[in-house]
Parts: sequence; C-alpha cells; structure tokens
Amino acid sequence: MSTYITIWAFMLAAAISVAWALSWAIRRGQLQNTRAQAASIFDPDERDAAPRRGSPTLSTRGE
Amino acid sequence: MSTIPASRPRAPLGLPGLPTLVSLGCGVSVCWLAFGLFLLGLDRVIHIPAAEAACRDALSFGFAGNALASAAIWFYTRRQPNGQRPAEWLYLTGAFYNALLGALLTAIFLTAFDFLPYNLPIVVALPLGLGALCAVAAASSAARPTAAEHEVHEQAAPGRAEIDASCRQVVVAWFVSAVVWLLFGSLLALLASIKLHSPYFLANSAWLTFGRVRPAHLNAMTYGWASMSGIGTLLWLQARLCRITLPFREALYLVAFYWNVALAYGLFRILAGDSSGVEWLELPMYSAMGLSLAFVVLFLTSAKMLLTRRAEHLYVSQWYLFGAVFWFPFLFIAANVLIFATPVGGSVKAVANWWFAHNVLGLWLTPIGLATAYYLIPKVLGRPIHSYYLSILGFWTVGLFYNWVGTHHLIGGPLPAWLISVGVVSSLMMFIPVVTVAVNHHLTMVGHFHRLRQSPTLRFTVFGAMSYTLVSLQGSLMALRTINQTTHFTHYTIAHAHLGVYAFFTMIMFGAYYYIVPRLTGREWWSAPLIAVHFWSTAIGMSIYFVALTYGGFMQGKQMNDPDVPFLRIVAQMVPYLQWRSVAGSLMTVGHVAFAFLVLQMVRGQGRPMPGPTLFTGHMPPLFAWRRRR
Repeated sequence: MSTYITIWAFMLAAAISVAWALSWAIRRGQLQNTRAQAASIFDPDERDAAPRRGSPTLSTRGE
Repeated sequence: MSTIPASRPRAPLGLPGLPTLVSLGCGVSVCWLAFGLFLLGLDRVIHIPAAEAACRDALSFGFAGNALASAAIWFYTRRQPNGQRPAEWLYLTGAFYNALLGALLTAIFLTAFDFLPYNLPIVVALPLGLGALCAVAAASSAARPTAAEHEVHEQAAPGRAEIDASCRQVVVAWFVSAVVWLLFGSLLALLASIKLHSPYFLANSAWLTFGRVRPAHLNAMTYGWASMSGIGTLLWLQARLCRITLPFREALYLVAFYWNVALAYGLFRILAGDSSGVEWLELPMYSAMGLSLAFVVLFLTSAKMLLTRRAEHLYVSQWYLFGAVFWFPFLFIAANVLIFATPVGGSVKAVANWWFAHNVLGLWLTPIGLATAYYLIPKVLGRPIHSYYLSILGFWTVGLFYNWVGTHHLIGGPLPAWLISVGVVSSLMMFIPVVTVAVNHHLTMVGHFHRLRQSPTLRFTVFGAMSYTLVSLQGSLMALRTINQTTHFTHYTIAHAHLGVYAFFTMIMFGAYYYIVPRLTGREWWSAPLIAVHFWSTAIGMSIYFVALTYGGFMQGKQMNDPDVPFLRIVAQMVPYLQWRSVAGSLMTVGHVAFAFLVLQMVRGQGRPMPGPTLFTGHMPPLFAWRRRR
C-alpha cells in the first residue's frame, strides 16, 4: 500500500508541476511572437545577424 | 527585447560571516566524531545491530563531510575580509545537510528495530523535499523584482564577458572533472571490451572482472563525464540565457567537489564488489544519496536563475534545461526510493528500473544535449533557428511522451500487456519531437553546411544533432515487438545505447567545450589539427562501433531465435565484431586523450591569444601546408 502511495504522490507532483508550467507559459505569452523570440539569444551587438532569416552574416564572436 | 532588471539586494538574515561558519562546521564535525565513536563503543559493548552502520555514516558523512566542507570554505574564502560575504546559502546548505544526515541515522535505527513501517528513504525524502521548498521560497521572496524595477533598460544587464567571468571557476571545475572521468571511463570501457573477446585478459584480479568493470564504466561515464560536462554546460547556458551572473558560486564549487568524492567512493565500492546489481543504479545507496543532494542544489540554482533572470522571454534551451534539472532529481530520487528504500516486489522492480534507466538518456541527457544544440547552432551560424514554434512543440512532446517509453525494454517479460503497449506507443509517439528537432536543425543549417569544414563547434554539434535523429528513430523502431524479438539481448542494443550517449550527447558536449572554454579562459585552442584528430578519431571510432555491433547484433539475434543453431557457435561468431568494438574503442580513446590534452592546455593558460575563434582551415600548420600550396 505504501508503495502505491509513493508512486501516486510522485506522479501527482510531476503532473501538477507540468500543468502549472504550461499554464504559466501561456499566461505570460511565452508561446507567442515566436519569430522574435527565436532571435532572443542574440545580444544587441549581434542584432544585425539575428532577425534576417537566411542571412549568412556572422556574429561578432560566433564562429 | 524586454528585460527584467537585477533583483533588489537581499535582506541580510542577521547571520555571522564566513569565519564563524567555518568554526561552526568544525564544531559540528567534532560532534559527529564523538557521536560516531559513541556508536562504535555501543556496538562493541552491547551489540546493537544498527550501531555499526550508523557509526560508519556518522564518521564518513558527519565527521569527514563537515570537516572537508569547512576546509574547502576556509581555503576558498581565506582572503576575504571578515563578514564581508553573505553566507546565508552556505548556512542553509550546512543545516540542510546535517538535518538530512540526522534523519538518515534516525531512520537506520528505527528501521533496525522495526519502529518505522514506512522505511528509510521516505524519512530522508521528507526533509529533502521540505528543504528544497523552503529554499525555493526563500530565494523567490528575496529575489523577486518590484514593478518599478521592470522598467529599467536592458543595458543594466551584465554583458557576456561579465557573465562568462562569473562562471569561470565553477564551470571549469565541472568541465575538468568531467574530462578526468571521461579518461577513467574510457580506460574501463577498453578493459571491458577486450575481456569480451579475450576473457583471460587481466582475469586474475577480482577487481577487474567484467561484472565490476562494466558497471564502473557505465557509472563513470553517466554520472562522471556525461552528467558533469552537462551540468557545466547547463550552468553556463542558463547564466547566458538568463543574462545574469552565476549565483551560488561557492556552493556550486563545493557541490562539484562533493559530487567527485561521492562518485569516486561509489565507483570504488563497485570495483570492490559492492554494486547494487541494478542496471544504471549500481552506485551504493550512500553514494546515490550524496548525488541526490547535489541534484537538489542544482535545481535550486536553476530556479534562482530563472526567478532573477533579466530576459523576460524563456528561450527554448531554457525550457529544456529547466526540464532536465526538474525531471532528473525527481527520477533519481523516485527510482532509489522505489528500488532500494521501499522496494517494490518482483517484476515491478524491473519496471521502476527501466523507467529510470531509459529516462537517464531521455529526460536528463537529451534535454541538455538539445538545449546546447539549439543554442550553439544558431550562435555559430549567426542566424536564428528555422522555426521557434517547432522547437517549443518538440519540448512539450518530449516532456509528454519520453517518460513512458522505458517499459519497451521489458517486452516478453512477465508484465501486463497494456503496460508494455504504453511503452511501445509512447516510443512511436516520439517520432513527433524527433522529427521537429531534425527538421528544425536541418533547415537552420541549409545553405551553411560548408561551415562544417571550418568550425569545430559546429562540426561536433551537427554530428551530435544528426545522431539524435538517428538514435531516436532507431529506438522507436526497436520498441516494435517484431523488431525487438530479434534485437533484444544482443549487441544491437549496446550499439544503440552508445549511439545515444556518445554519438549524440557526448559529441554535442565536445562542441560545447570548444565554444565555452575559450570564453571562460579568454584564450583560443592550442592546436586546430589536434581538434581535427579529436573529431576524426571519435567520429570514425563511433561509426565503426555502431556498424560492427549493429550488424553483428542483428545476426546474433537472428541466430538466437533459431533453435537449430548452437549457442556456442553464436558466441564464437560474435568474436570478430567484438574485436572491431575494441578497435573502435581504442580510436575513441585516442580522441579523448587529444581532447584532454587540449583542455589541460587551456586550463594551464597555454591557449593562444587570438581575436577570433579557432578554425580548422585558418591555422594549418607548416606540416600540412604543402597540400594548400599544391
């Protein structure tokens, strides 16, 4: 019996966490404006390369 | 890009400075020593059954653990002015560690006298969970920015150089430790491989028998090389993507030291014959508990970075990384509880075992590997990923499906058919995230494949990303009952496992080293040709390994299903494939030695001062220059 309680406690905790994370992401707009967000890893000095999809321009330090 | 500014300064908790903490640690250590000696006397005089185990834990974890931690804190901070550094986090860690140990010893006694129906690790897991919750709550409340602070412009965020400087010591500690474990694991792998076709090789030493060397290799590679390199990369990536300096640096430095000690002790016990015998969980319980604690610290660090981040948006790599640090401690602790602490019975134990074992790759190494690839490929190319939407879809489908696939390892076992079917269906559903990742990476690379000739980072990373597609599709097909009945219990499965952990994850980690280490040390790689040696020896070695064992394993499976073929004939026919395995392993080891030498040179400050990155074609030495002249 204790084993089943343990398993279900773990599963419940995981399920609640995932559901909360997904709802948080939707509420905070993390799943919107994806095109701009793809460029969020580039700093301002790398910006010239970031937004133009297909551009072969290199970043300042990137190889 | 919208940003969140730095958190306001944390309110002091009124705790004394570091010298007091070191004194306190020494005092606690002496208390544990006295308690351990008391238990030893108790065991000798009145022979209490649990006293010996409790004494061992009190002396090793209580006395030695506190003393080592205190010494490390003193050594690392001895030049800091008294009371100048806030030590709340170290106080919290110390209190948490000793509370955990106290709970563990109490549980040992209660279990020994049957006072504890719910068994040992539940008692351990309880303070672990409570402590984690308290720490997250404390970090959250202390670090949450005010509404006004949201309006500060993004220039307030530290630059890349400042972030890299904050990561330097911690990430280098994790990286260098990982390389040491890579060399040690490679040596064990070679030993195990040679023994498969030459069983009398070093057969006189019990420590070097196949049954000990093989699990030691697996654990050295999984928890030593793969996990430590992955954690180093994870910390650097999180700091970069959150646009903050690395928090809890002292604690993370100590955790790296603590991780090495726990793992070294666990491997020593495996080689001494004290393996638990459960695949992928061979480390003894006391070593696994140590790693659990380290995982909790990593989770807290990651949570702290997310809560105090200055970039509002979470890039897809951050989703993967936070998923990894959330999922894996959960898996690791849950598996240890279900298998060792409150052991489930019979074949259910195998379910728990393979649920964990498959998810080591699926929910720990895969998210870190993919997060790294999603960062490095766009960065090196200087262009964003092809479809951000696909990348997010890939993350959530990995989270949804990967957790269930482990039971396909038990096809044919004494389990309910529905349970196996869940594993098979989930394995096939993994086509969705795999295809999204493959399409995304490929379309990002289209038009830029020529860059593979120049960039070490890109070459290793793309090799790893392509291997991810291959290993995942192969794994999905292996879950089908018709294919599984041939490939199960054969070397085909070994080739598949290495394709995942080595060709996918390890190659991406190599790429991460070539990108990150120059940014940490401020120098470029010592020798481009040596990087080429590293790449080609590992890539060719892995290819030979995969082809030989895949083909040999498939033939092995076909013959094993034929009752007319004697088993000994199958064993004899496998010898050439196993010899090719040793050749492939030797090639990979050559690459590892070259890689270790390069990392050593960088850590020693022998890297080259160059403004740009190390490229294959840009620095051809005179020895090879004749080809260019022709």
